[in-house]
Amino acid sequence: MTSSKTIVLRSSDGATFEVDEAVALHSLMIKHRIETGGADSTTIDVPEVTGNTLSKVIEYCKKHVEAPNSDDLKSFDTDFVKVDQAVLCHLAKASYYMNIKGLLDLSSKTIADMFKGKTVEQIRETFHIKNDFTPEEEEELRKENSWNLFV
Amino acid sequence: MKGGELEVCFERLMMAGGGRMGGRRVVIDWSEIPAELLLRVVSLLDDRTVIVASAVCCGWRDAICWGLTHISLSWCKNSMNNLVLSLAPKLKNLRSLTLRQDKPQLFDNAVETIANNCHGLEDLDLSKSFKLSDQSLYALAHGCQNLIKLTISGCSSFSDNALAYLSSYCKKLKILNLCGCVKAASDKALKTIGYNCSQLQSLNLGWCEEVGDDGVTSLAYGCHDLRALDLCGCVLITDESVIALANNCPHLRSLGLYYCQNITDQAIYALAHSRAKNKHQVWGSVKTRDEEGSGLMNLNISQCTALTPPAVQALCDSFPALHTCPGRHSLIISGCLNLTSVHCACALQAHRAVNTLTNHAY
Repeated sequence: MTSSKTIVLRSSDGATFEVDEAVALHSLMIKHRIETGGADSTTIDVPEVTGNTLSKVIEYCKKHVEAPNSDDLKSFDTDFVKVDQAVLCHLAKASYYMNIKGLLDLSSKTIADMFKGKTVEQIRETFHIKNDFTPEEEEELRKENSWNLFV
Repeated sequence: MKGGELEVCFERLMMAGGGRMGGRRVVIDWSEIPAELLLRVVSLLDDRTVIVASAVCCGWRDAICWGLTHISLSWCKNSMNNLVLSLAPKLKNLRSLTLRQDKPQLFDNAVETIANNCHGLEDLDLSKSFKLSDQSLYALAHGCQNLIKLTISGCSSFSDNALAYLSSYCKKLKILNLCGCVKAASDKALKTIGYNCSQLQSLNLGWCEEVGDDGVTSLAYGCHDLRALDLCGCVLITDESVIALANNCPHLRSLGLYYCQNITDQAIYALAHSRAKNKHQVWGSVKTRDEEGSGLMNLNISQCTALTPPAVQALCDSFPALHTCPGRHSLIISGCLNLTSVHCACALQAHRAVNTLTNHAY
């Protein structure tokens, strides 16, 4: 018997999540959809986000909406992003599409920290990225990055 | 069904999936994250790491170069020139670029590349680029006409012709730092700047020994919006320059006259009296008590040994934002042992400050 409304969020793969409206509104994208969608919008599609990720996002929003002043919020955030890269990337993308500033800042910062102190090769390894430059471009880059050896 | 139960379900799935992944199957393509998201991450990185990131893959390079608006390459100790040659053609949206060097590395071809590609550039710092020639200034004149802020301090090779030429194209300049540019900052160049750069607010002519009254008076007549002028070490200038500034630049907040030993009380009284005059001309800000509308806030008259206490005290009385008190020291009088009796308004009682303001209400 809660006094607040609930909203159903539907992920790209059809998973549905019932959440308190207050929690859902933590996403400015959803807030906008509710405000412009009319009185009957109780189910909101989030096609950019899979069920896995959406459930984590909801967990984040719940904590931040229901206990914003709790002492363990900081440690919650720190632990929240102790996930493998793929999940981190999904979280970052979801927070970007769903416009959840706190989570976007948190995930961006975590990703940024993964760059620090690394060379080009090390970053490619960390993020499993293929070097797709042409031999000519590669040569340009080598000239450009000659500073790499001395810094 | 409550969200919580589903959550647990999915968590188990994720954990199982994690075990299977084991580093062999890549489920996410980092090279294809949305450009805006990548740029947001990149905005949290130091400048060097930004450049590293731009060399990871094609997609990242394109996104980063397209989105980059501000970058400093001053950390680059050895190959700044190559770096600029390679990157500048891709930095189409660059607005601010810092290339200050400890050891001169930059050549004209790098500046030309910038000028040919970064047409939106508004802020450029080329401090200590000893190896640049006039070619660089000509290139900037043609390619970077949106420049608002330019620093070429320490670039001792530039000539006054080239600087004059640049000023006739870069008319939006508001901040110009020519500290140490002895050859470039001649009266001839200053006349051209005064004529062309009417929006100029801040000019640093520190240690430009050839600067004389002709140049400074031209600046005063042409640049009414001048707020900060550093003439430290400009040993040739006389009261004529300061009087022209006092009479023509109502927004002057900061003036450096360190070592300008020809300056006498006449210049100081002109500044003091300009306050009263300007109050009639400057709309709106007349009755403000905050420092913004209060005229001179910083004045360096160190080594101006011809000045006497009555003149400088009159100046202090006219400009409540000039301070001799330790906390907000903004009237610098080093080497002027006879001026130690001069005190700012707030060093006395508060009611004296009120009297000072009302005395000027004619």
